[in-house]
Amino acid sequence: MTEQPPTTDRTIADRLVRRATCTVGVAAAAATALIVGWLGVAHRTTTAAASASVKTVSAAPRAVRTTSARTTRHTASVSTATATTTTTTTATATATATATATPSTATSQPVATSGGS
Amino acid sequence: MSAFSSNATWHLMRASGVVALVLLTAVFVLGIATNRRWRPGRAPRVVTASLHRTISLLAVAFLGVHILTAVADPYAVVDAAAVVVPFVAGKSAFAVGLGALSLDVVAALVVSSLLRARVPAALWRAIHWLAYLAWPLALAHSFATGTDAASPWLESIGVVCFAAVAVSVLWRFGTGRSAKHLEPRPVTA
Repeated sequence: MTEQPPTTDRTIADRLVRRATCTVGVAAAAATALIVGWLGVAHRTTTAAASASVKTVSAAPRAVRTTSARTTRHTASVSTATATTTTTTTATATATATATATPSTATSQPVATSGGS
Repeated sequence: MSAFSSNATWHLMRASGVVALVLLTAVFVLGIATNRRWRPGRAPRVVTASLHRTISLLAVAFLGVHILTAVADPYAVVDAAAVVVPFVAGKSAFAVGLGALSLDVVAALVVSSLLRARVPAALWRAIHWLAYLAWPLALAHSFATGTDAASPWLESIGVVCFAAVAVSVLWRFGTGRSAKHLEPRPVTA
């Protein structure tokens, strides 16, 4: 029966160093793989979001056209309303002026008491 | 397929760079621990020095992957000369130059340590002092390059690495006598 060689400090140290180095190496490789995977997923997500954004931008002219049409209709409606208001105001002013002028003498000027725009 | 491999190279370059920075930090701290004659638990003291040596080789391996992928990646546009000659890269010349400077110093440290038996002790020690320059250059390179500089995950790693190095530098210079004075003197007949 052969006798086992005594375990020296050097052997213990070598074993410890080898184990620790392997652990650190595996951890470093795993960390690298993890980061690569994570960056890949993040990149894919960003790319998908950017693609969706491009689709939204592509669809935008149609939305702009619709909005523009609505705005045109609205503007036309506002113009009609303004014209109506102006006509009404002018008619009121004329009526008031006539009413004011009626009791006065012939030399007095009719005064429009209601403001027209 | 081409786009996938291009992206994979790009991601591998960034990941290996970050891991190399962490490993270089560990090497830096272990170097100071060796100098302070620290040992993990009841392990022999030589463990710290051996770990310093083996993990520095591991860091060099990851640094190699980082450099190879940087040269190979079509987006990074780093030519072979810019890897070793500082500030000649066409794109991000300053940031890549910091990395090149750091690499040059690390190469000097590794080569002088591998040839330690043939290098005069004073010269080896003088070159080893450059480690205090290599690590900040590597950190500056990481944050000057820009891709992940503003990312919280890289900022967190940078803060942890900086704290580890700062504490170890304080340990090295802030307490007691250096290990050089504690080393056993050779026995004279």
